[in-house]
Amino acid sequence: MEQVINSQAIKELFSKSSDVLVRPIKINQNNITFHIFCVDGLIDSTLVDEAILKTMIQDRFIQAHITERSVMDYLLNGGAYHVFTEEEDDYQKLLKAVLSGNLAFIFDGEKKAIVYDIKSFAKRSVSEPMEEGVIKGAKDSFIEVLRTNTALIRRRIRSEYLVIESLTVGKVSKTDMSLCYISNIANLETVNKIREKIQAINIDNISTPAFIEEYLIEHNKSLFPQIMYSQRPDRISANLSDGRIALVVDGIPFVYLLPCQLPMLMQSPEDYANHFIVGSALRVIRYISMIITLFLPAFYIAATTYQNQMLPVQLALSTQQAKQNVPFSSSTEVLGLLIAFEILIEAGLRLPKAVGTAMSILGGIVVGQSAVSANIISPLVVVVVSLAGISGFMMPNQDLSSGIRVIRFSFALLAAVGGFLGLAVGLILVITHLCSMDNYGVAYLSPFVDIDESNHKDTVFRFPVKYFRKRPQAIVPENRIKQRP
Amino acid sequence: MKMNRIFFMPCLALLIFLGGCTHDMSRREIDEIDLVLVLAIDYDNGEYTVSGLYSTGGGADPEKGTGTGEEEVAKGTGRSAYEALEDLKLKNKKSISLAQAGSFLIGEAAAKQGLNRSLDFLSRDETIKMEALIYITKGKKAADFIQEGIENKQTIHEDLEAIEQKQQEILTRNDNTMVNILNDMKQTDSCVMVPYLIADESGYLIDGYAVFDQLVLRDYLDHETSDGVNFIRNIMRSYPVYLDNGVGLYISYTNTKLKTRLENQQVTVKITVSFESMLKEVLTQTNVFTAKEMERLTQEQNNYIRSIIEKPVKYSVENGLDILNLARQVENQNFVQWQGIKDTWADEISDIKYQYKVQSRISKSFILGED
Repeated sequence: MEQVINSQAIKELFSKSSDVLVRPIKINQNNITFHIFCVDGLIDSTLVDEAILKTMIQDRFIQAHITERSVMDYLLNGGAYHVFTEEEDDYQKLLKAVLSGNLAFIFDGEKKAIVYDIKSFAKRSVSEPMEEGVIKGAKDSFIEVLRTNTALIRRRIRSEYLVIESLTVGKVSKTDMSLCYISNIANLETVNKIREKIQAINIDNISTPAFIEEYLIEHNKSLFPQIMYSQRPDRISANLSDGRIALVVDGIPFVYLLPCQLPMLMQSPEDYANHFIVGSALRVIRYISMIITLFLPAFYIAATTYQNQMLPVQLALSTQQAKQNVPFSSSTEVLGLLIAFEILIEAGLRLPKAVGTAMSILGGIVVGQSAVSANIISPLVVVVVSLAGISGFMMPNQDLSSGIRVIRFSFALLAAVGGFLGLAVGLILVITHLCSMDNYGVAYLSPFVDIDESNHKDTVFRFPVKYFRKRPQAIVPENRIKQRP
Repeated sequence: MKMNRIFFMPCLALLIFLGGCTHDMSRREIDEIDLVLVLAIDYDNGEYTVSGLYSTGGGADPEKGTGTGEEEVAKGTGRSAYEALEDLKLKNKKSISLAQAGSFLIGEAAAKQGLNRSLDFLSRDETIKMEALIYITKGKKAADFIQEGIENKQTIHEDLEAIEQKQQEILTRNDNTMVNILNDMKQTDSCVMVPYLIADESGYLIDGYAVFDQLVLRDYLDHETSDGVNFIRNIMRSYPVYLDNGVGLYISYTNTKLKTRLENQQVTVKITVSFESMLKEVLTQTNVFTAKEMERLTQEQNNYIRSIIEKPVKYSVENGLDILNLARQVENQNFVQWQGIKDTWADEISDIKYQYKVQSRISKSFILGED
């Protein structure tokens, strides 16, 4: 049965919720009474008092209206001072609006309400991004409030083609989302596909980012991130201009980007803030770091356990000597230290900052020095694992960094079982997996695997901006021209 | 998809286990093996001896640093070099790995038995470094050579590395790598040239080339003749020139071209050497920087280098040995005619006619303190 808007019913519904306010207000001599319906703490009460209620009570003209309908019309046409005002006759929509922080005046006789958007709740101010900070570049970042985030995007793209579609997900949480794209650039088929996926989500609550991500990615079992996120409005707006689609989720302080490819995850906003040669050099270092973090522990195991000819003579001799009094095999040493490294990282994240620092020092001394002195591990293993660990943190994307950490373990295990053959098998499997993946119709390794040479100007090397003339064809089939020569 | 996985996983496991069956896949921790750095091969009384020099670690004490430790020698004997190596593996306390061996020393007696008999087993070992260097120990057993070095408190493998580096300063490439020697051994028309080592108080020195005819040690070339070989092979990087009138020069660039002609069964080889030198020492009162004097010096250094080049040519003609690797040149440049003389090439070597063209330039020099 369809429910109608009624103050008594709403009062009974929220009878046990002390923060929900349903209060009658009589506004004139004609005994017209409506009910204020709002959630305490989510509205700006000063604005309600000063701009709406005070002016309404003192308004001489409202006295002349003798029916609820005429009062409603008067209020909707400027009787109350607020720009975001609308009439609502759907019960569910009214509930959602009020629980999202709006104020409603319920007119029982008309079975309708007037909704004022006067949300005001505790929120962070727009501050510097914590994860993607740059020296040269914008210092604003997204916060947990959807509308602030869409405003940050809109501020950078003042195009009439920027579309910000509203969607709601979560049967209980009713989380607001906005799908953002530039309608004359983005591939609308991809937009539709993403919209359909979001609408198909049938979960009760969107409590963590992973709840959204897992529904949007196409290869759930892959360790490689298939959805990119950023805290930076400038980065999101740049990708929107490239034809990608952004998803802003209320309560999540970053914005998702789709389709996502591996090279995107290796790029940092800093690359574009610097001279193109410096930017390219930074990227090359990042790729080298990826190779180091993935292969160095496995290489060490393979070289010290199977094919020692891969080491130069002096290094082989010093490795041999360093290992002589260590009771464990190279693979045990490396895998053990990798696990210890992960434990230190996890413990450091969970502990309060001050304790975390102390623990890091303690962990560093115990693992790094005492373990070597006690001949539990060889010094070279400490160097290898530390270098691999630090290199892993060079990845600009945390999800990629985490995925690589897991793959690093697999490679180390394969090297322990089969030396360089095992490592080669692992590498072939990873490359095959990467080549087989696509993301909303775009190859995951694009533009590395693209034939179109114009796509290769922003991969490992960043060309000068004047060479970025076309948008990637796989992402934007039409309207590809970014700039004319 | 599910079926793919069912087939894929056993295939992967099989691949790994099959890999484990190969020789190089045997799992051995690096500290549980003796890394042979230098391998010496000798022959005496019908028996081969293989001596492996390896470094004994001194532990990983960070305060003491990680030096390379003491060097020790392990020996094995057998009817062939391979049998001797297996004997060495059997006798040694730890497993032996030849993967880090950077130098192979072949004793004079073993060299006289044939280069192939000493190197065949090494050429079939997939762990051997192809850039490992091969030397002949002149007049001695290779094992004695190592033993004397140990007694003189030398670090043998480091001394041999130092020789290699010194060679790289003088030559553009080392032709005595395992891969080059194995390649040269296939060319039976020419001699295989392997550098020979001599020991003096300060360590080891390369004095020249040992000449192998049909893979058997035939002779040793003296220092200057060997230099001439290097010039003709176009591998000379730098070379000092000492002229009689107290002028010393240093050749910093050389280029040698060999042009062969085969007409009426007569082989003619034209050797063109171009080089650049700079003045390094002037002890004469004469102003050597005048055009006339420079021209005279240029002519003198040309004559000097020509005399160096003529030495290996003379040796080749007198002994009928193709130490300049001319067979390959003649074959490449006169392929059709070569078919007519290839069977009698050994007889042709002494009849080859040589033409020389030496041209050079002395580059500018300066004197500190003068304008």
